[in-house]
Amino acid sequence: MIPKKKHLPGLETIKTVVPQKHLERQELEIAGLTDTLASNIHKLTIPSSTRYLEDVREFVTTHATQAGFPDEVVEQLKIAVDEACTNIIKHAYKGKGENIIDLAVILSADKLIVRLRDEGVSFSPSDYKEPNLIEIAKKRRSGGLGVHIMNRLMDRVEYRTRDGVNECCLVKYFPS
Amino acid sequence: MFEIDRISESEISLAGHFDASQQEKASKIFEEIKTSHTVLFNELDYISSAGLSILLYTQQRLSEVGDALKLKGMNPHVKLVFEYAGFDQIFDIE
Repeated sequence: MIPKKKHLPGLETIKTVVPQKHLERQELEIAGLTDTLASNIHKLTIPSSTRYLEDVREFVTTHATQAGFPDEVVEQLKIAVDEACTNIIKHAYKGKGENIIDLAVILSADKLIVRLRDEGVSFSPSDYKEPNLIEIAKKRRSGGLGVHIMNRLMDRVEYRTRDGVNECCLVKYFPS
Repeated sequence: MFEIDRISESEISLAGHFDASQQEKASKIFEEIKTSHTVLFNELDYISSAGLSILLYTQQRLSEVGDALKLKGMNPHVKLVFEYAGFDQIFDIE
């Protein structure tokens, strides 16, 4: 579960207060990654504000590069996680910065998963419509453009909600 | 880091990372534009859909008076985002 925080600590502080009691085995089973070692999970928790997007991109870039993905794929992961985080901040949390987003980069033998968790309004993929660029232009809103880009860049994008926690997983397979 | 500057009467330069945290700053400058402009991307390292939507909105507004944005000097990573979004069909990218 994502801890609730009334006062937002700085990012450095929040990194150290990521709950250590995460049920790694259970999490990995849910992700279908029972063969994955806990050491292959890297976590970051950020306040739900766009000012932390750069930290999120850096976090994913570091671990995707270390995992051996080529620069082009690292760039795709960076863009996709930015779009996913922005959607959570704007739509799940309605722009309110007092919430938090839990991120994890999970590595297995054949793929990398970036998992994002929030406790805001859930996103329903079945309600998603391909973006209408004319509508976006007129309303000055990104209107589904982020989801469209995520879908184009990732091998799979999965959404689920459990016990009030929304989870979005961005999946990228290692090049064969 | 993100910088946006009107460097002449018809040119805007972008630098750094143009993500959702920079929407307000960028909108302020783009809203001042009333005629055709060239946007210089040479120093821009990154753009997300938040940045794309501001450019699209500006393009739509200018097209109503017969004007347009011309986008120049994109690095390959930034250009890819335009292609993934289908924006390479909408803008004049040089």
